[in-house]
Amino acid sequence: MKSSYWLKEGWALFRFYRLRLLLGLLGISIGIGAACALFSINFVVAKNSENVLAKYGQSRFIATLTPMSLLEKKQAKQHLSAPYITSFCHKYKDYLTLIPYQVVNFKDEKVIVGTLSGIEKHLEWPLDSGRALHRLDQQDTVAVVGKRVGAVVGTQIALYGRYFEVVGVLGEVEPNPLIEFDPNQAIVISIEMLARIKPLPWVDSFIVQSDSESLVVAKSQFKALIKSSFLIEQMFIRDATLFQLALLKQVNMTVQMLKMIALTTLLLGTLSIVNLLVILIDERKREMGLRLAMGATALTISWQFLREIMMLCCLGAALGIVFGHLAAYIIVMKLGLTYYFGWFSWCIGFPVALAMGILAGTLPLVFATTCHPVKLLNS
Amino acid sequence: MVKLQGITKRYPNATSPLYSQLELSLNANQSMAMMGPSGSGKTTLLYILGLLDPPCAGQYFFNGVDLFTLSHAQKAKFRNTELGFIFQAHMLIPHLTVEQNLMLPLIYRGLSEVVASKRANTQLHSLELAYLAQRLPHQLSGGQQQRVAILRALIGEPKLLLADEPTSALDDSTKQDILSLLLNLQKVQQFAMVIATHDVSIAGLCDRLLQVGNLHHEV
Repeated sequence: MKSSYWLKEGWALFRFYRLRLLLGLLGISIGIGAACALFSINFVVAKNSENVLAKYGQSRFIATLTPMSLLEKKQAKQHLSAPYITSFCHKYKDYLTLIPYQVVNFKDEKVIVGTLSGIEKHLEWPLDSGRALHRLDQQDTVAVVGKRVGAVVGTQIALYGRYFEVVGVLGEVEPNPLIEFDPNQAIVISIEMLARIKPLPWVDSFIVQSDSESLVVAKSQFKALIKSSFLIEQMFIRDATLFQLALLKQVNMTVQMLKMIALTTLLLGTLSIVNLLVILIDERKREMGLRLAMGATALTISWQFLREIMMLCCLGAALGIVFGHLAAYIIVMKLGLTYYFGWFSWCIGFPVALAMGILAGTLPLVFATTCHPVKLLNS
Repeated sequence: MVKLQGITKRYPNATSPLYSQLELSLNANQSMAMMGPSGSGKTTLLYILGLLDPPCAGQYFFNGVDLFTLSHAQKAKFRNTELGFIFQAHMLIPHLTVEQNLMLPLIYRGLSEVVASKRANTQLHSLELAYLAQRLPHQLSGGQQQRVAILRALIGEPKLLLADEPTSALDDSTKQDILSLLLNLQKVQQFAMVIATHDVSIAGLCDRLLQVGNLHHEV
Protein backbone atom coordinates (compact mmCIF):
# COMPACT_ATOMS: atom_id res chain seq x y z
CA MET A 1 0.00 0.00 0.00
CA LYS A 2 1.39 3.39 -0.96
CA SER A 3 2.32 5.78 1.83
CA SER A 4 0.24 8.62 0.38
CA TYR A 5 -2.86 6.44 0.63
CA TRP A 6 -2.34 5.45 4.26
CA LEU A 7 -1.52 9.02 5.16
CA LYS A 8 -4.92 10.00 3.74
CA GLU A 9 -6.53 7.15 5.66
CA GLY A 10 -4.74 8.29 8.81
CA TRP A 11 -5.97 11.83 8.31
CA ALA A 12 -9.53 10.56 7.74
CA LEU A 13 -9.27 8.60 10.98
CA PHE A 14 -7.95 11.64 12.84
CA ARG A 15 -10.81 13.81 11.56
CA PHE A 16 -13.40 11.21 12.55
CA TYR A 17 -12.10 10.54 16.07
CA ARG A 18 -10.66 14.04 16.49
CA LEU A 19 -11.72 14.74 20.07
CA ARG A 20 -10.42 11.45 21.44
CA LEU A 21 -7.27 11.56 19.36
CA LEU A 22 -6.61 15.17 20.32
CA LEU A 23 -6.92 14.24 23.99
CA GLY A 24 -4.54 11.34 23.41
CA LEU A 25 -2.20 13.65 21.58
CA LEU A 26 -2.33 16.05 24.50
CA GLY A 27 -1.49 13.20 26.89
CA ILE A 28 1.57 12.21 24.86
CA SER A 29 2.62 15.83 24.36
CA ILE A 30 2.48 16.63 28.07
CA GLY A 31 4.38 13.47 29.00
CA ILE A 32 7.07 13.91 26.38
CA GLY A 33 7.11 17.68 26.92
CA ALA A 34 7.83 17.33 30.63
CA ALA A 35 10.58 14.78 29.97
CA CYS A 36 12.01 16.98 27.23
CA ALA A 37 11.96 20.05 29.47
CA LEU A 38 13.88 18.05 32.05
CA PHE A 39 16.49 16.96 29.50
CA SER A 40 16.78 20.52 28.22
CA ILE A 41 17.25 21.96 31.69
CA ASN A 42 19.89 19.35 32.51
CA PHE A 43 21.64 20.19 29.25
CA VAL A 44 21.43 23.93 29.88
CA VAL A 45 22.77 23.54 33.44
CA ALA A 46 25.68 21.44 32.16
CA LYS A 47 26.43 24.05 29.49
CA ASN A 48 26.19 26.91 31.98
CA SER A 49 28.40 24.99 34.33
CA GLU A 50 31.02 24.59 31.60
CA ASN A 51 30.76 28.28 30.93
CA VAL A 52 31.27 29.11 34.59
CA LEU A 53 34.49 27.12 34.53
CA ALA A 54 35.58 28.73 31.27
CA LYS A 55 34.69 32.21 32.50
CA TYR A 56 36.34 32.06 35.92
CA GLY A 57 39.21 29.95 34.77
CA GLN A 58 40.08 26.32 35.14
CA SER A 59 43.11 27.13 37.26
CA ARG A 60 42.24 30.48 38.80
CA PHE A 61 41.04 30.88 42.35
CA ILE A 62 40.85 33.32 45.23
CA ALA A 63 42.57 32.34 48.44
CA THR A 64 42.00 34.01 51.78
CA LEU A 65 44.54 33.06 54.41
CA THR A 66 43.02 32.44 57.82
CA PRO A 67 45.86 31.96 60.30
CA MET A 68 44.46 30.24 63.40
CA SER A 69 47.28 29.27 65.70
CA LEU A 70 49.52 31.75 67.46
CA LEU A 71 52.43 30.61 65.32
CA GLU A 72 50.46 31.15 62.12
CA LYS A 73 49.32 34.61 63.27
CA LYS A 74 52.88 35.55 64.19
CA GLN A 75 54.09 34.38 60.77
CA ALA A 76 51.31 36.36 59.07
CA LYS A 77 52.17 39.56 60.94
CA GLN A 78 55.82 39.10 60.15
CA HIS A 79 55.63 38.12 56.46
CA LEU A 80 52.31 39.23 55.05
CA SER A 81 52.92 42.94 55.40
CA ALA A 82 52.35 45.07 52.32
CA PRO A 83 55.96 45.77 51.26
CA TYR A 84 57.08 42.19 51.92
CA ILE A 85 54.18 40.61 50.05
CA THR A 86 54.88 42.71 46.95
CA SER A 87 58.37 41.33 46.63
CA PHE A 88 57.16 37.84 47.55
CA CYS A 89 54.62 37.85 44.72
CA HIS A 90 57.17 39.21 42.30
CA LYS A 91 59.63 36.49 43.30
CA TYR A 92 57.29 33.67 42.27
CA LYS A 93 55.77 35.30 39.20
CA ASP A 94 57.20 32.67 36.82
CA TYR A 95 55.77 29.89 38.92
CA LEU A 96 52.38 31.26 40.01
CA THR A 97 50.71 34.55 39.27
CA LEU A 98 49.83 35.96 42.70
CA ILE A 99 47.97 39.21 43.08
CA PRO A 100 47.42 40.14 46.72
CA TYR A 101 44.54 42.41 47.58
CA GLN A 102 42.90 43.85 50.60
CA VAL A 103 39.47 45.39 50.75
CA VAL A 104 38.49 48.21 53.11
CA ASN A 105 34.98 49.56 53.29
CA PHE A 106 34.72 53.24 52.43
CA LYS A 107 31.71 55.53 52.16
CA ASP A 108 28.29 54.29 51.11
CA GLU A 109 28.84 51.11 49.13
CA LYS A 110 32.27 52.13 47.94
CA VAL A 111 35.34 50.13 48.84
CA ILE A 112 39.06 50.78 48.71
CA VAL A 113 40.99 47.94 47.19
CA GLY A 114 44.68 47.80 47.83
CA THR A 115 46.41 45.59 45.29
CA LEU A 116 49.20 45.28 42.75
CA SER A 117 49.13 46.35 39.14
CA GLY A 118 47.76 43.66 36.87
CA ILE A 119 44.56 42.90 38.75
CA GLU A 120 42.44 44.45 36.01
CA LYS A 121 44.23 42.35 33.39
CA HIS A 122 43.72 39.09 35.29
CA LEU A 123 40.11 39.75 36.11
CA GLU A 124 39.43 41.16 32.63
CA TRP A 125 38.21 44.53 33.81
CA PRO A 126 37.84 46.89 30.87
CA LEU A 127 39.31 50.36 31.10
CA ASP A 128 36.99 53.19 30.07
CA SER A 129 39.44 56.06 30.20
CA GLY A 130 42.95 56.82 31.44
CA ARG A 131 45.33 54.02 32.35
CA ALA A 132 45.67 51.07 34.70
CA LEU A 133 47.90 51.05 37.78
CA HIS A 134 51.55 50.60 36.92
CA ARG A 135 54.23 48.64 38.78
CA LEU A 136 56.04 51.94 39.43
CA ASP A 137 52.91 53.46 41.05
CA GLN A 138 53.52 51.59 44.29
CA GLN A 139 54.56 54.68 46.21
CA ASP A 140 52.31 57.14 44.38
CA THR A 141 48.97 58.54 45.39
CA VAL A 142 47.16 57.46 42.25
CA ALA A 143 43.95 55.47 41.92
CA VAL A 144 41.90 53.69 39.32
CA VAL A 145 38.18 53.87 40.05
CA GLY A 146 35.13 51.87 39.14
CA LYS A 147 32.49 53.30 36.87
CA ARG A 148 29.97 53.93 39.63
CA VAL A 149 32.40 55.76 41.92
CA GLY A 150 31.58 58.89 39.95
CA ALA A 151 35.09 60.27 39.45
CA VAL A 152 36.78 61.19 36.18
CA VAL A 153 40.42 61.02 35.10
CA GLY A 154 42.49 63.91 36.43
CA THR A 155 40.33 64.62 39.47
CA GLN A 156 41.39 64.06 43.06
CA ILE A 157 39.65 61.92 45.63
CA ALA A 158 40.25 62.06 49.34
CA LEU A 159 40.85 58.77 51.15
CA TYR A 160 41.38 58.98 54.90
CA GLY A 161 43.02 62.42 54.69
CA ARG A 162 45.13 61.77 51.60
CA TYR A 163 44.35 62.88 48.11
CA PHE A 164 44.64 60.40 45.27
CA GLU A 165 44.70 61.38 41.64
CA VAL A 166 42.34 59.38 39.46
CA VAL A 167 44.46 58.04 36.60
CA GLY A 168 41.95 55.61 35.14
CA VAL A 169 38.25 54.81 35.16
CA LEU A 170 37.06 51.27 34.63
CA GLY A 171 34.26 50.39 32.24
CA GLU A 172 31.16 48.55 33.47
CA VAL A 173 32.40 45.29 35.01
CA GLU A 174 30.20 42.22 35.04
CA PRO A 175 29.86 40.96 38.64
CA ASN A 176 32.29 38.15 39.37
CA PRO A 177 31.04 35.91 42.17
CA LEU A 178 34.61 34.83 42.99
CA ILE A 179 35.48 38.24 44.44
CA GLU A 180 33.65 39.69 47.38
CA PHE A 181 33.48 43.32 46.22
CA ASP A 182 31.89 45.12 43.31
CA PRO A 183 34.65 46.52 41.02
CA ASN A 184 32.21 49.16 39.80
CA GLN A 185 32.21 50.68 43.30
CA ALA A 186 35.94 50.15 43.93
CA ILE A 187 38.76 52.66 44.32
CA VAL A 188 41.85 50.68 43.41
CA ILE A 189 45.15 51.87 44.85
CA SER A 190 48.49 50.17 45.49
CA ILE A 191 48.53 47.86 48.46
CA GLU A 192 51.43 49.73 49.98
CA MET A 193 49.48 53.01 49.88
CA LEU A 194 46.51 51.30 51.48
CA ALA A 195 48.73 50.05 54.29
CA ARG A 196 49.86 53.64 54.88
CA ILE A 197 46.41 55.19 55.09
CA LYS A 198 44.71 52.31 56.88
CA PRO A 199 46.86 50.06 59.10
CA LEU A 200 46.32 46.39 58.21
CA PRO A 201 47.39 43.47 60.45
CA TRP A 202 48.34 41.52 57.30
CA VAL A 203 47.37 41.00 53.70
CA ASP A 204 45.20 37.95 53.55
CA SER A 205 43.65 37.67 50.07
CA PHE A 206 45.25 36.55 46.83
CA ILE A 207 44.09 36.09 43.29
CA VAL A 208 45.99 33.04 42.14
CA GLN A 209 46.50 32.00 38.55
CA SER A 210 48.46 28.87 37.71
CA ASP A 211 49.73 27.59 34.37
CA SER A 212 48.47 24.19 35.38
CA GLU A 213 45.27 23.03 33.62
CA SER A 214 43.90 21.45 36.75
CA LEU A 215 42.45 23.42 39.60
CA VAL A 216 43.47 20.72 42.07
CA VAL A 217 47.12 20.95 41.02
CA ALA A 218 47.02 24.75 41.12
CA LYS A 219 45.59 24.71 44.63
CA SER A 220 48.15 22.24 45.91
CA GLN A 221 50.96 24.33 44.36
CA PHE A 222 49.70 27.42 46.17
CA LYS A 223 49.18 25.64 49.48
CA ALA A 224 52.67 24.19 49.32
CA LEU A 225 54.15 27.58 48.57
CA ILE A 226 52.33 29.33 51.43
CA LYS A 227 53.19 26.55 53.83
CA SER A 228 56.86 26.51 52.93
CA SER A 229 57.14 30.33 52.91
CA PHE A 230 54.99 31.33 55.90
CA LEU A 231 54.14 28.08 57.76
CA ILE A 232 50.44 28.87 57.27
CA GLU A 233 48.14 26.01 56.42
CA GLN A 234 44.74 27.48 57.19
CA MET A 235 43.08 29.12 54.22
CA PHE A 236 39.76 29.42 52.47
CA ILE A 237 39.71 28.96 48.73
CA ARG A 238 36.97 30.06 46.37
CA ASP A 239 37.03 28.75 42.81
CA ALA A 240 34.74 28.11 39.87
CA THR A 241 33.68 24.69 41.19
CA LEU A 242 32.01 26.49 44.08
CA PHE A 243 29.87 28.30 41.58
CA GLN A 244 29.17 25.13 39.73
CA LEU A 245 27.90 23.72 43.02
CA ALA A 246 25.92 26.88 43.70
CA LEU A 247 24.43 26.67 40.22
CA LEU A 248 23.50 23.04 40.68
CA LYS A 249 22.00 23.80 44.07
CA GLN A 250 20.04 26.63 42.52
CA VAL A 251 18.48 24.43 39.84
CA ASN A 252 18.44 21.18 41.76
CA MET A 253 15.04 21.76 43.34
CA THR A 254 13.51 22.76 40.01
CA VAL A 255 15.01 19.71 38.32
CA GLN A 256 13.81 17.40 41.09
CA MET A 257 10.32 18.85 40.87
CA LEU A 258 10.37 18.57 37.11
CA LYS A 259 11.56 14.97 37.35
CA MET A 260 8.53 14.11 39.43
CA ILE A 261 6.21 15.96 37.07
CA ALA A 262 7.86 14.36 34.03
CA LEU A 263 7.60 10.85 35.41
CA THR A 264 4.02 11.32 36.54
CA THR A 265 2.87 12.89 33.30
CA LEU A 266 4.75 10.33 31.22
CA LEU A 267 3.02 7.59 33.18
CA LEU A 268 -0.34 9.32 32.88
CA GLY A 269 0.31 9.93 29.19
CA THR A 270 1.09 6.26 28.65
CA LEU A 271 -1.99 5.21 30.60
CA SER A 272 -4.18 7.61 28.65
CA ILE A 273 -2.75 6.25 25.40
CA VAL A 274 -3.35 2.67 26.53
CA ASN A 275 -6.87 3.61 27.51
CA LEU A 276 -7.47 5.44 24.26
CA LEU A 277 -6.10 2.61 22.16
CA VAL A 278 -7.97 -0.08 24.04
CA ILE A 279 -11.23 1.82 23.49
CA LEU A 280 -10.41 2.72 19.92
CA ILE A 281 -9.25 -0.76 18.92
CA ASP A 282 -12.23 -2.28 20.68
CA GLU A 283 -14.49 0.08 18.78
CA ARG A 284 -12.77 -0.77 15.53
CA LYS A 285 -12.94 -4.54 15.90
CA ARG A 286 -15.78 -4.69 13.39
CA GLU A 287 -13.68 -2.67 10.98
CA MET A 288 -10.89 -5.22 11.41
CA GLY A 289 -13.29 -8.05 10.62
CA LEU A 290 -14.51 -6.15 7.60
CA ARG A 291 -10.97 -5.55 6.37
CA LEU A 292 -10.25 -9.28 6.81
CA ALA A 293 -13.36 -10.07 4.75
CA MET A 294 -12.14 -7.71 2.03
CA GLY A 295 -8.85 -9.55 1.73
CA ALA A 296 -6.50 -7.96 4.23
CA THR A 297 -4.26 -10.26 6.26
CA ALA A 298 -3.93 -10.01 10.05
CA LEU A 299 -0.40 -8.72 9.49
CA THR A 300 -1.59 -5.96 7.14
CA ILE A 301 -4.16 -4.86 9.69
CA SER A 302 -1.68 -4.99 12.58
CA TRP A 303 0.81 -2.93 10.65
CA GLN A 304 -1.88 -0.43 9.66
CA PHE A 305 -3.04 0.07 13.24
CA LEU A 306 0.50 0.24 14.55
CA ARG A 307 1.34 2.81 11.88
CA GLU A 308 -1.59 4.95 12.97
CA ILE A 309 -0.52 4.72 16.62
CA MET A 310 3.05 5.59 15.71
CA MET A 311 1.90 8.57 13.63
CA LEU A 312 -0.08 9.82 16.60
CA CYS A 313 2.86 9.30 18.93
CA CYS A 314 5.30 11.03 16.58
CA LEU A 315 2.98 14.00 16.29
CA GLY A 316 2.58 14.04 20.07
CA ALA A 317 6.35 13.79 20.49
CA ALA A 318 7.00 16.69 18.12
CA LEU A 319 4.47 18.88 19.91
CA GLY A 320 5.74 17.75 23.30
CA ILE A 321 9.35 18.50 22.42
CA VAL A 322 8.44 21.99 21.16
CA PHE A 323 6.41 22.73 24.30
CA GLY A 324 9.09 21.13 26.48
CA HIS A 325 11.74 23.43 25.02
CA LEU A 326 9.44 26.38 25.53
CA ALA A 327 8.87 25.39 29.17
CA ALA A 328 12.60 24.80 29.65
CA TYR A 329 13.35 28.21 28.12
CA ILE A 330 10.97 29.95 30.53
CA ILE A 331 12.38 28.08 33.56
CA VAL A 332 15.97 28.74 32.47
CA MET A 333 15.22 32.44 32.05
CA LYS A 334 13.63 32.53 35.51
CA LEU A 335 16.77 30.92 36.95
CA GLY A 336 18.87 33.60 35.30
CA LEU A 337 20.89 31.14 33.22
CA THR A 338 21.77 31.23 29.54
CA TYR A 339 19.53 29.04 27.36
CA TYR A 340 21.11 26.58 24.94
CA PHE A 341 19.20 24.53 22.41
CA GLY A 342 20.05 20.83 22.30
CA TRP A 343 19.02 18.20 19.75
CA PHE A 344 19.37 15.55 22.42
CA SER A 345 15.71 15.88 23.44
CA TRP A 346 14.62 15.21 19.86
CA CYS A 347 16.77 12.08 19.74
CA ILE A 348 15.23 10.88 23.00
CA GLY A 349 11.67 12.23 22.63
CA PHE A 350 10.80 10.40 19.43
CA PRO A 351 12.01 6.93 20.45
CA VAL A 352 10.33 7.31 23.85
CA ALA A 353 7.05 8.35 22.20
CA LEU A 354 7.29 5.49 19.72
CA ALA A 355 8.07 3.03 22.49
CA MET A 356 5.05 4.38 24.40
CA GLY A 357 2.85 3.89 21.35
CA ILE A 358 4.19 0.45 20.53
CA LEU A 359 3.91 -0.70 24.14
CA ALA A 360 0.44 0.75 24.50
CA GLY A 361 -0.79 -0.34 21.09
CA THR A 362 0.67 -3.79 20.67
CA LEU A 363 -1.24 -5.55 23.42
CA PRO A 364 -4.76 -4.54 22.43
CA LEU A 365 -3.80 -4.97 18.79
CA VAL A 366 -2.46 -8.51 19.25
CA PHE A 367 -5.57 -9.31 21.23
CA ALA A 368 -7.79 -7.97 18.46
CA THR A 369 -5.97 -9.45 15.47
CA THR A 370 -5.77 -12.91 16.99
CA CYS A 371 -9.50 -12.77 17.63
CA HIS A 372 -11.72 -14.91 15.40
CA PRO A 373 -12.83 -12.94 12.29
CA VAL A 374 -16.48 -13.81 12.97
CA LYS A 375 -16.17 -12.47 16.51
CA LEU A 376 -14.65 -9.31 15.09
CA LEU A 377 -17.49 -8.92 12.58
CA ASN A 378 -20.13 -9.53 15.23
CA SER A 379 -18.54 -7.23 17.82
CA MET B 1 -17.82 -23.87 -9.32
CA VAL B 2 -18.47 -24.14 -5.55
CA LYS B 3 -18.60 -27.53 -3.91
CA LEU B 4 -18.93 -28.26 -0.18
CA GLN B 5 -18.39 -31.86 0.88
CA GLY B 6 -19.13 -33.37 4.26
CA ILE B 7 -19.16 -30.03 6.08
CA THR B 8 -19.68 -30.45 9.81
CA LYS B 9 -19.88 -27.47 12.12
CA ARG B 10 -20.32 -27.66 15.85
CA TYR B 11 -19.96 -24.78 18.29
CA PRO B 12 -17.94 -25.61 21.42
CA ASN B 13 -20.82 -25.53 23.90
CA ALA B 14 -23.58 -26.78 21.58
CA THR B 15 -25.22 -30.13 22.26
CA SER B 16 -25.70 -30.97 18.59
CA PRO B 17 -23.81 -29.90 15.47
CA LEU B 18 -25.13 -27.04 13.39
CA TYR B 19 -24.32 -28.97 10.23
CA SER B 20 -23.46 -32.55 9.82
CA GLN B 21 -22.09 -33.86 6.55
CA LEU B 22 -23.50 -30.91 4.57
CA GLU B 23 -23.15 -31.29 0.81
CA LEU B 24 -23.66 -28.29 -1.43
CA SER B 25 -22.73 -27.27 -4.94
CA LEU B 26 -23.30 -24.06 -6.81
CA ASN B 27 -22.64 -23.29 -10.44
CA ALA B 28 -21.28 -20.05 -11.82
CA ASN B 29 -23.93 -17.37 -12.37
CA GLN B 30 -26.36 -19.26 -10.16
CA SER B 31 -28.17 -17.61 -7.28
CA MET B 32 -29.19 -19.43 -4.16
CA ALA B 33 -31.26 -18.25 -1.24
CA MET B 34 -30.80 -19.69 2.25
CA MET B 35 -33.78 -19.61 4.55
CA GLY B 36 -34.27 -20.77 8.07
CA PRO B 37 -35.09 -19.56 11.53
CA SER B 38 -32.70 -17.37 13.51
CA GLY B 39 -29.76 -19.37 14.85
CA SER B 40 -30.20 -22.07 12.20
CA GLY B 41 -26.74 -21.38 10.77
CA LYS B 42 -27.37 -19.26 7.67
CA THR B 43 -24.70 -16.70 8.51
CA THR B 44 -22.31 -19.44 9.67
CA LEU B 45 -22.60 -21.14 6.28
CA LEU B 46 -21.89 -17.80 4.60
CA TYR B 47 -18.80 -17.39 6.78
CA ILE B 48 -17.69 -20.91 5.89
CA LEU B 49 -18.13 -20.08 2.22
CA GLY B 50 -16.25 -16.83 2.84
CA LEU B 51 -13.33 -18.66 4.55
CA LEU B 52 -13.89 -16.64 7.70
CA ASP B 53 -15.07 -19.50 9.90
CA PRO B 54 -13.54 -22.91 9.35
CA PRO B 55 -15.82 -25.96 9.81
CA CYS B 56 -14.98 -28.88 12.09
CA ALA B 57 -14.75 -31.21 9.15
CA GLY B 58 -15.30 -31.29 5.41
CA GLN B 59 -13.88 -29.92 2.22
CA TYR B 60 -14.54 -26.80 0.20
CA PHE B 61 -13.68 -26.81 -3.48
CA PHE B 62 -13.70 -23.70 -5.60
CA ASN B 63 -13.08 -24.40 -9.26
CA GLY B 64 -11.47 -27.66 -8.18
CA VAL B 65 -9.13 -26.13 -5.57
CA ASP B 66 -9.50 -27.31 -1.95
CA LEU B 67 -9.64 -23.96 -0.19
CA PHE B 68 -9.18 -25.32 3.36
CA THR B 69 -5.63 -26.35 2.44
CA LEU B 70 -4.63 -22.78 1.57
CA SER B 71 -2.41 -20.66 3.83
CA HIS B 72 -3.78 -17.59 5.63
CA ALA B 73 -2.27 -15.28 3.01
CA GLN B 74 -3.71 -17.34 0.16
CA LYS B 75 -7.12 -17.33 1.82
CA ALA B 76 -6.92 -13.54 2.18
CA LYS B 77 -6.02 -13.23 -1.49
CA PHE B 78 -8.91 -15.54 -2.39
CA ARG B 79 -11.34 -13.42 -0.38
CA ASN B 80 -10.03 -10.32 -2.10
CA THR B 81 -10.19 -11.57 -5.67
CA GLU B 82 -12.96 -14.16 -5.79
CA LEU B 83 -15.42 -13.18 -3.07
CA GLY B 84 -17.70 -10.28 -2.33
CA PHE B 85 -19.46 -9.77 1.01
CA ILE B 86 -22.63 -7.86 1.76
CA PHE B 87 -23.50 -7.77 5.43
CA GLN B 88 -26.78 -7.34 7.23
CA ALA B 89 -25.78 -4.00 8.62
CA HIS B 90 -24.08 -2.34 5.63
CA MET B 91 -20.74 -2.29 7.52
CA LEU B 92 -19.01 0.60 5.84
CA ILE B 93 -15.87 1.86 7.57
CA PRO B 94 -17.17 4.92 9.42
CA HIS B 95 -14.18 7.23 9.09
CA LEU B 96 -13.61 6.63 5.38
CA THR B 97 -15.54 8.43 2.66
CA VAL B 98 -17.76 6.48 0.25
CA GLU B 99 -15.03 6.62 -2.37
CA GLN B 100 -12.38 5.39 0.08
CA ASN B 101 -14.66 2.56 1.21
CA LEU B 102 -15.04 1.44 -2.40
CA MET B 103 -11.32 1.75 -3.06
CA LEU B 104 -10.28 -0.42 -0.14
CA PRO B 105 -10.62 -3.92 -1.72
CA LEU B 106 -8.70 -2.68 -4.76
CA ILE B 107 -5.99 -1.16 -2.57
CA TYR B 108 -5.61 -4.53 -0.81
CA ARG B 109 -5.32 -6.09 -4.26
CA GLY B 110 -2.27 -3.89 -4.85
CA LEU B 111 -3.81 -1.45 -7.31
CA SER B 112 -2.58 2.11 -7.27
CA GLU B 113 -4.63 4.79 -5.53
CA VAL B 114 -5.34 6.51 -8.88
CA VAL B 115 -6.65 3.35 -10.55
CA ALA B 116 -8.69 2.39 -7.47
CA SER B 117 -10.20 5.87 -7.28
CA LYS B 118 -11.06 5.83 -10.96
CA ARG B 119 -12.80 2.48 -10.66
CA ALA B 120 -14.66 3.56 -7.52
CA ASN B 121 -15.95 6.66 -9.26
CA THR B 122 -16.97 4.67 -12.35
CA GLN B 123 -18.99 2.34 -10.13
CA LEU B 124 -20.61 5.29 -8.35
CA HIS B 125 -21.45 6.89 -11.70
CA SER B 126 -23.05 3.67 -12.91
CA LEU B 127 -25.60 3.89 -10.08
CA GLU B 128 -25.80 7.68 -10.26
CA LEU B 129 -24.27 7.93 -6.77
CA ALA B 130 -21.25 10.02 -7.76
CA TYR B 131 -22.48 12.92 -5.63
CA LEU B 132 -21.99 10.76 -2.54
CA ALA B 133 -18.31 10.07 -3.22
CA GLN B 134 -16.89 12.39 -0.58
CA ARG B 135 -19.51 11.76 2.09
CA LEU B 136 -18.96 9.72 5.23
CA PRO B 137 -21.23 6.68 5.81
CA HIS B 138 -23.16 8.38 8.62
CA GLN B 139 -24.15 11.12 6.19
CA LEU B 140 -26.01 8.60 3.99
CA SER B 141 -29.47 7.09 4.29
CA GLY B 142 -29.87 3.36 5.00
CA GLY B 143 -30.64 2.61 1.33
CA GLN B 144 -27.66 4.63 0.11
CA GLN B 145 -25.39 2.87 2.58
CA GLN B 146 -26.54 -0.54 1.36
CA ARG B 147 -26.06 0.48 -2.27
CA VAL B 148 -22.51 1.54 -1.48
CA ALA B 149 -21.96 -1.76 0.38
CA ILE B 150 -23.14 -3.65 -2.74
CA LEU B 151 -20.83 -1.62 -4.95
CA ARG B 152 -17.93 -2.33 -2.59
CA ALA B 153 -18.67 -6.06 -2.67
CA LEU B 154 -18.74 -6.06 -6.47
CA ILE B 155 -15.95 -3.58 -7.27
CA GLY B 156 -13.39 -6.36 -7.38
CA GLU B 157 -15.55 -8.38 -9.86
CA PRO B 158 -15.93 -11.40 -7.59
CA LYS B 159 -17.05 -14.80 -8.80
CA LEU B 160 -19.10 -15.46 -5.69
CA LEU B 161 -21.19 -12.93 -3.80
CA LEU B 162 -22.20 -13.73 -0.23
CA ALA B 163 -25.05 -11.59 1.08
CA ASP B 164 -26.26 -11.82 4.65
CA GLU B 165 -29.83 -10.52 4.87
CA PRO B 166 -28.96 -7.53 2.71
CA THR B 167 -32.42 -5.96 2.91
CA SER B 168 -33.43 -6.71 6.48
CA ALA B 169 -32.75 -3.20 7.75
CA LEU B 170 -34.55 -1.44 4.91
CA ASP B 171 -38.11 -0.33 4.27
CA ASP B 172 -40.19 -2.12 1.63
CA SER B 173 -39.65 0.26 -1.26
CA THR B 174 -35.89 0.51 -0.67
CA LYS B 175 -35.78 -3.26 -0.24
CA GLN B 176 -37.27 -3.73 -3.71
CA ASP B 177 -34.79 -1.24 -5.20
CA ILE B 178 -31.82 -2.97 -3.60
CA LEU B 179 -33.04 -6.42 -4.68
CA SER B 180 -33.60 -5.44 -8.26
CA LEU B 181 -30.18 -3.73 -8.26
CA LEU B 182 -28.52 -6.88 -6.95
CA LEU B 183 -30.23 -9.16 -9.46
CA ASN B 184 -29.52 -6.80 -12.36
CA LEU B 185 -25.88 -6.63 -11.41
CA GLN B 186 -25.74 -10.41 -11.19
CA LYS B 187 -27.05 -10.68 -14.74
CA VAL B 188 -24.55 -8.11 -15.99
CA GLN B 189 -21.48 -9.20 -14.06
CA GLN B 190 -22.26 -12.95 -14.12
CA PHE B 191 -21.34 -14.02 -10.58
CA ALA B 192 -22.74 -16.73 -8.36
CA MET B 193 -24.69 -15.47 -5.36
CA VAL B 194 -25.69 -16.89 -1.99
CA ILE B 195 -28.22 -14.86 -0.02
CA ALA B 196 -29.20 -15.58 3.56
CA THR B 197 -32.70 -14.23 4.12
CA HIS B 198 -35.93 -14.54 6.04
CA ASP B 199 -37.87 -13.03 3.16
CA VAL B 200 -39.80 -15.46 0.98
CA SER B 201 -40.12 -12.92 -1.84
CA ILE B 202 -36.34 -12.69 -2.11
CA ALA B 203 -36.03 -16.45 -2.07
CA GLY B 204 -38.53 -16.62 -4.91
CA LEU B 205 -36.30 -14.47 -7.10
CA CYS B 206 -33.30 -16.79 -6.73
CA ASP B 207 -32.54 -19.85 -8.84
CA ARG B 208 -32.40 -22.19 -5.86
CA LEU B 209 -33.51 -22.27 -2.26
CA LEU B 210 -31.75 -24.00 0.62
CA GLN B 211 -33.71 -24.55 3.79
CA VAL B 212 -31.27 -24.44 6.68
CA GLY B 213 -32.05 -25.97 10.05
CA ASN B 214 -31.56 -29.23 11.86
CA LEU B 215 -32.57 -30.97 8.70
CA HIS B 216 -31.13 -28.83 5.99
CA HIS B 217 -32.50 -29.68 2.60
CA GLU B 218 -32.82 -28.12 -0.80
CA VAL B 219 -36.28 -27.20 -1.99
